[in-house]
Formats: sequence, C-alpha cells, structure tokens
Amino acid sequence: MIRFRNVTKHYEPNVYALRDFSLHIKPQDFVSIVGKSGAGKTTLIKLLTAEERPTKGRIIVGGWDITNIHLREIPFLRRQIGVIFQNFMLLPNRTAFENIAFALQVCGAAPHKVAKIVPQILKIVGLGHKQDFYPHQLSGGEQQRVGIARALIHRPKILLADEPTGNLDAINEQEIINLLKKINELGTTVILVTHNKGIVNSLHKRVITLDAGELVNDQHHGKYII
Amino acid sequence: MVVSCLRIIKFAWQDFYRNFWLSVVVIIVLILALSSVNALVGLNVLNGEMLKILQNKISVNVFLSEKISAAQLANFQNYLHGIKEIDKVVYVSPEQGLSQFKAKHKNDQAMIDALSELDKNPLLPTLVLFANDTKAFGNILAQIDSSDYAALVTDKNFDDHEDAINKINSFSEKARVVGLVLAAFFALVSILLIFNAIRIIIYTHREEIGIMRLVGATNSFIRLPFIVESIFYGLFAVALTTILCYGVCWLALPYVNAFFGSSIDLFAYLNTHLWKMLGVEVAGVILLNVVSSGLAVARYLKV
Repeated sequence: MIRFRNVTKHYEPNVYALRDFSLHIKPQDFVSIVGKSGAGKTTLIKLLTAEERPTKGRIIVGGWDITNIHLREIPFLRRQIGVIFQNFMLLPNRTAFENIAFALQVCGAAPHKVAKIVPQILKIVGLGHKQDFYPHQLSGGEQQRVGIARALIHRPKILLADEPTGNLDAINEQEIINLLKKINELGTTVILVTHNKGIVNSLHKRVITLDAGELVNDQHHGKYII
Repeated sequence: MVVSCLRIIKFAWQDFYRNFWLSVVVIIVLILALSSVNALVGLNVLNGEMLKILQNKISVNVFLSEKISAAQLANFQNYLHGIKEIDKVVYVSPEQGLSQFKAKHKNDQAMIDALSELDKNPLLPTLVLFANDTKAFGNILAQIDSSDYAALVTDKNFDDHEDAINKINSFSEKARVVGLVLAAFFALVSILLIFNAIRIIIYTHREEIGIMRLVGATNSFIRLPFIVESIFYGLFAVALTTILCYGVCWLALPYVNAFFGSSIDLFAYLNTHLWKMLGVEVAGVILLNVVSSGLAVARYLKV
C-alpha cells in the first residue's frame, strides 16, 4: 500500500528530517508512528500527502510513484488519503454538515450526491443528530469525529491521523481510537502519529519508532518504547 | 464541470460580499479610472462638435459688381456649384446684407448713425461660399481669379476662424494628455489595490484554503474564485460608471448647450455608443483585474 525506499528529506542548511528511511505498510494495516519531537513524523505525513518532496529515494502509494508527482495530480492523490489533525481544522462558520459537504463540493460533487453521502457518513461517526451544530457547539471529541467524517468522505484507502487525540480528554480519546479501529476493520489503512504511550500500548498493533529521521524500531505487536 | 463553475462563482460572490467594504474601496478606485477615460472621450466629442460649429462658420464672401445682371449672377453661381471643393453657395443681396448688418450692430448707435448719413446702401451683392474643407479656400479663390467671372468680382473677404480652431486643438491635445496621465495613474492604483485586496482575502481565507488543499480540491478550483471576484469588481465598476456617466450628462447638458449656443444631444451619442463603450470598458477592466488578481494569487496562494 505504502512504500518508502531509502527516502531522505534534507532541509537547508544541515537538517535531515528523514535519513535513508525505508518502510513498507501493507493494505489494511494499523500502524502507530512514535518518536520524539523532530524525529521526522510530521515530515513523513507531509511526504505522503505531497506537501513536501523527498530529497532522495522513492515513495510509492497504492502502486503510484509519487516521488515526483505533477502539481495537477496532487489533488487526486489527496482524495485517496484522508487526514485528521490535533486541532480538527474545521471551519467555524459552517455546521457539521456543511464542513463535511465542503470537502465534496470543492471536488465538484453534484448536489444530490452531497445530500445523500454526508448524512450517511455523519451517522457512521455517530453524529447524525448533530449535523446542524456549529463546531463551537460540539465537544472536542465530536469535533474530531466531524474531522474524521470529512477525511472519510472520499472513501480513502489510507487515513493519516496526526495526533488526533492531542486535544481530548481520556473518554473522548478512547472513543476516537475506537472509531479509528472500526474504520481500519472496514478496510482502510490507518497511520496514527502520536505521543500517547497509553494508546499505543493498548492497541497491540504495529509500532514504528523514529529517532532523528531514522527508523529505529519496527514491531508488529509493539509497544511505545521511547 | 458546470457544477464546479457555478461553485467557483458562488464562492467568489460570497467573498465579494463578506469583504464588502474592501470591495467598495476597490470599486470606487476603478470608477475613478473609468470616469477619467469617459471624461477623455466626452472631451473629444465636445471638441469635435466645437470644431464642426466653427468650420461651418468659415466662409469666403465674394463681393460682386453692383452692375451684375441676373443672368451673369446665375451663370457665376452655376460655375461655383461646379467646383467640387465648394459645399454651399449663398447669395446675399445688398438689401439682405444691409438688414443683416443692422441686426448685427443694433447695439452700436454710432454705426447705425453713420449708416443713416449715407444716401444709398453701401453694400454690394455678395456670394457667401462654404467649403467642404477649410484648407480648400486657397484653391477655390485661385480658380475664381483665373475664371471668366473674375471681372465680376470686386473684392473677397476671408472670414478666418483658423486661429480659434488651432487654439481648440491645442487645448484638447493638452486635455487629452492630462486625461491619459490621470487614467494611467488610476489604472496603476487599481492594479495595486486589487493585488492587495486579493492578498488580504487570501490571508483571511487561509484556513479554508488549507482545508481545500487537504481534501483534494484542484488548484484551479482553489485559485479561480479570487480571479472571479476581481471580475465582479470590474463589472460593478463599469455598471456604476455608466450610470454616473448618464447622470453627469443630464446635469451638464444645459450648460453645454448654453456654451455652444446649439442643441447637442449627448444622450443620443451615449445611446448610440453604449454597447461599444460597455464592451471596451468591460474588456479593459476585466483584463486589468485578472492580471492583478492573477499576480496576487500566483504570489501568495500556494497550492
């Protein structure tokens, strides 16, 4: 599904975000990526969404070599990769429904398709009854559910979760992780970037540990070991 | 495709009214630029009218012998009609000439008194010649001098308005330069203003743009609403400038007619040239706005 081959990302003057990094993630994997700040986790996500390009090496997503992806192909790559963030990235002046619909509208979806799909996805994330609520009327956990719904709206094969529970309390945190597990069980590859030791240890899934841009540990039923 | 185009227009319109006061400022400056161009065009039209009026007044008075017979007069008139540079020939009899002279000098008592001292009408029969082109008078007079009718002519009086025409031309040329400089200045201000307005709007929409990129909106879908918004500025500016133009004409018409002493139908001119004027202004403003907003988008909107 995802393959990094000897990828190096170098920033001037002398910073290596990733150094000769190789990784293979299979379809339907649930992978946690852990590491200290500056270990290269965010760079990894930026490379996968083509926000950054590798200095060296190759990146292949679903058989598509995106190493030197053309500018006009990037939107189509991003429709295949859903991304959620710690700060939810919702538009404050739009309702839950409108925030999700926005993702379809800007990609040219027909109005009847928007009207059909958005309620379905809101139901999947358990917010069918709150579709007309604005972000400030929702709890942190609910806002993150809206973010997840938006990320899933194009039925992506990969879901990147960058510290999705960073702003949540323990109860909401567990709910979001359960939702991610459910999404993974339905066939989506999930890549979870986190600092949360408890979550990583409770998952019993593959754990990749980065340090100073290098892969230092890769365990299939791993634990948070930093 | 159609859905995307409609959404681009919708997003552009939302930006337009959400940044209402910014839009108002941009439109005002565009109106100033367009009004300078319109003033320039208006000045040219009035200048043309003024020249036409003056050219109609340029004539040559050919004073004939008082003994000229009716047959000789008719032959001479026929001869003059045959000269292609001559537009019109008007015969003024001594009696008509006298009454015109008295009417012209009715407020000049000394002149009226001097005239009444004379025993007989001092004015000669006259042919007033109007030419197609003011520059043709020299040639016309030369042809008369070399014709068989030269002996019937006692004198010629060239009523010259050339100096006035030159003054008007010189004034209108200066006014045109000032107008062009003003229009160029406002166009430059418009470009800078639109560039900065779009930059501010991009900045205020950075979250929305970030989400658009994240969810896979195409680059053109992200960029085009800003370009379309600048087109909205142009369309509003042209529409308001046209209304303003009609308003100014309505206010100025009595003064213009009083100045020229004749009825100039500015509205007829506007109505005749309305579509041409709108076409040129819309095309020009859209080009200007698309270029300036395109530069801002290319510079500040990374996709």
